[in-house]
Amino acid sequence: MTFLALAPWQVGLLIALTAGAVIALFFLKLRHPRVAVASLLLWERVLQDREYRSLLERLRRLISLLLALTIALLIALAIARPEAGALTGEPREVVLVLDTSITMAARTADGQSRWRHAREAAARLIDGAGGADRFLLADTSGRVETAMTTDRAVLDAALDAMRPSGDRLAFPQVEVDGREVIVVSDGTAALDLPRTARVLSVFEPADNVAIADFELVARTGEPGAYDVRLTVANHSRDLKEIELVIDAETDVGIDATLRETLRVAGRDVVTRTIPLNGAPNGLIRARVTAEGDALAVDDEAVDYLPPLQDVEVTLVTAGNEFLETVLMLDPRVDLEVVHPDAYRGDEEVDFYVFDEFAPQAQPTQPALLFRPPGRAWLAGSDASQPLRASETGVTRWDETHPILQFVSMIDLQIADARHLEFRTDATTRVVAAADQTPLIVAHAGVPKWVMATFALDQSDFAMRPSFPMFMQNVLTWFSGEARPVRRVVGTVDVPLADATVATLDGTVVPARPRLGSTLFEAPAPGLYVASAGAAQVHVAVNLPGGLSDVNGMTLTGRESLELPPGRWLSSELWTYLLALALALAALEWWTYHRRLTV
Amino acid sequence: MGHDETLFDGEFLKKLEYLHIVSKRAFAGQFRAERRTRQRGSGLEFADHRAYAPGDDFRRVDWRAYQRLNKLLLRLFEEEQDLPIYLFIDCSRSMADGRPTKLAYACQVAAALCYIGLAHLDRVTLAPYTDQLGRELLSQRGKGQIFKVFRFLSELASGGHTDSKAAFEIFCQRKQPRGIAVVISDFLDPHGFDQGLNLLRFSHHDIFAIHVVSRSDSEPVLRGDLQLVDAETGSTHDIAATPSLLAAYRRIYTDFCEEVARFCSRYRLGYVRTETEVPFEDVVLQVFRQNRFLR
Repeated sequence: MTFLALAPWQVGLLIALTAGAVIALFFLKLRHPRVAVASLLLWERVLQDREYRSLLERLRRLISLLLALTIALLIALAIARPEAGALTGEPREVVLVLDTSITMAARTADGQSRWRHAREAAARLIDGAGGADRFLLADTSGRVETAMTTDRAVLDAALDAMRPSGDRLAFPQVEVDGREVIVVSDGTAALDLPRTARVLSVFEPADNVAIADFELVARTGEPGAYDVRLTVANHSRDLKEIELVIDAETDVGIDATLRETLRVAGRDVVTRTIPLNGAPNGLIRARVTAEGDALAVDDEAVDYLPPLQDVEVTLVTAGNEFLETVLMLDPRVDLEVVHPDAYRGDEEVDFYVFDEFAPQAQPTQPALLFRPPGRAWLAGSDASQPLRASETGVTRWDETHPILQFVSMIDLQIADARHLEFRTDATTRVVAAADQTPLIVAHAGVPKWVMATFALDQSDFAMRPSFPMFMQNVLTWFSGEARPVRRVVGTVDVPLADATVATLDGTVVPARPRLGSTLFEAPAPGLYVASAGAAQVHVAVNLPGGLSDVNGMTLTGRESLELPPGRWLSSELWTYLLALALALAALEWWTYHRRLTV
Repeated sequence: MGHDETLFDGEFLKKLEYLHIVSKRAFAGQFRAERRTRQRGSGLEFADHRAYAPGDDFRRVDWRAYQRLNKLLLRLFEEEQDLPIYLFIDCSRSMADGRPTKLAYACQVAAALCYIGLAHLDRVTLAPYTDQLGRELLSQRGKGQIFKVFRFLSELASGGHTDSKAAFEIFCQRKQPRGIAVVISDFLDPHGFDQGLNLLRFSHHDIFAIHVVSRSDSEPVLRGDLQLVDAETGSTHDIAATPSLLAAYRRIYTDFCEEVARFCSRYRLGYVRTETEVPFEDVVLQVFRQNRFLR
């Protein structure tokens, strides 16, 4: 027998003290209520007569003492939390991991879900274990992880907190050496399981169609025009007829709905590029439906395009056909072209675009500059000797920055760039560079400016499809329009401090702040609006591609596990000891009141 | 004790006057009274004849007998004298038990008997005792003494241990005239109730034992773990008052009462057992008469 709560010497001491206390109290003469009687003459005769009449009479006090001693020792032992392997089995340490991949939400033939089955299996594993068996319960999304515990309430609470999500999946970082590892999974998630892990499978074949990929693509040469590029996957074994519906808010019509029926073979994908009429601005949502679809969360994808605003732009250039053309083609731009010599700095415009020119004094409006000469108001110092950029082109760029959204800089060739020494800070960032040479610098202070250290005629940037997008992004960024944030299902991070998050229908979603941003849980694809004061950010949450294959088995070859039968002593011994002590106390109470014991 | 000095109402006293304490034997008294004695004298009841002797009173010669027998015979009459009645009242602390207390009840009974005795010109001595004789009220005679008796009884208080043998030893050593010895007690004598009674018996007194019991003696209402305290000695005993224990006690108590009754029966002593809950008038007017203690 082992003791979980106390060391053996502590148990011995506890038992000795308990027994001593009980015996001392038992023999301590408690003063009973005094009753005067005429004489003890006859009482003494009665008592003498009774005391020697039967063995039981003589044993009554001994039985009482033994009962009291037994009750006290049972309680003392219960405090020590004894464990007897012969009764409850040897204590085990089990790392129980539940797969919380999104495919666990797939509906099963009985109308439940794989997740429901997984939870029930985990609960049965825990309930059927010995009282001293300790469990560490964790999920694969890193959301829930308990300590190694025997506390069933903690484990139940952890089970309640788990749910399938689109979060990144990984086997939890827990110690598994010398521990039993059980993974409850449908086997579709690619998990790097420990060698000793056994899998309790809740897999059941299911049909599923999904939007595997969803993207808004700016149409080349048509600023403000977009196409929807999406991939529809059929993870079922058989061909499926899939109804595709796209809802988009555009400037030519609200909720312009596009419908299309796709016939997709079993375990196949179809990619479609669908043009959106007019200039989309607002929610764009794609939805697929098919008969027998077991997983709903991957049937929808959303995105958001902010409404376009008209802007007045003054282009200060000695002559740049690329810039003039791209700005003139933008329908929201009212363009004025000014020679550098004619620049006054007091034009009533929204933004400036300076081509190989920069005024001595910083204009009060935001400005986009291409290879400007050195100026004090521009960060960094102008190096007198221009340096050549790496022949391999742009080596790094920040796709998350608003001005580089949808802008590909792969294979961009730049013949020459001005080398400027920049010290990046909270407002000035190098968003694209070739090795140590900054190529694009964005200043988020007031007023904003964006500087390209290269000239358009010395690179192929102006001839690439992403150039109009870059220009559009810059103008949008200048205008202060918040670009939508795109995230995946799960815990969503919004770059807005202390924001209130709501769905489109106004339902507020619980959110928590974290270091200048806000976190909230998005269990399913959808469009959310994060607001903090006047600032507002739209958050398009979608399921990442590749998570929808409900039939793709990756955990094959693992030792499988059957649910063990429950043990007849499923709780810890101390609970039975306490119950026995309680029963004996009740017996003692009963016998005492019938004067069977003293 | 604080009883009312009157103790009884007039009606009850009138009833008492018709009663007479019965003695199984005739004892010699000191004064003329209503009690027959062995002595021959000037009473009204004819007792015997004897031969005339010179100097005898001619008025007592039975002339009819002389006619029939031709002998001078003298008519003898019984001498009616008073009867010594000794009322021994147990005043030990155990008599303070019961409602009313056994002592109060004993005093009431003693008062009634006193009145009966005084009304018939008997000499009544009241002797309270514990482990010795207390202050006595000696040889009262005539109804006029009844208030003195009442006062004496009302001043009695319980206290001390019971030792009837020691107390009666003192009494017997005084060579008191033989008479009726009425012992009113609960007989809870640690030294044995029979010791004292035997002493009186050996002194040739006509003994009446009035056994006063209280309901708390015979049917104690006890429950749970208790420490019993002996009212006389102060000694204690822990008990668990179970129904079986109480039943055993009742059995022992009944045995004890029967033991006292058996003892009295064996030695032809008068014995009456009465509970304090029984009105003492009933005891005096009915129970005593049924037991031929009074007529």
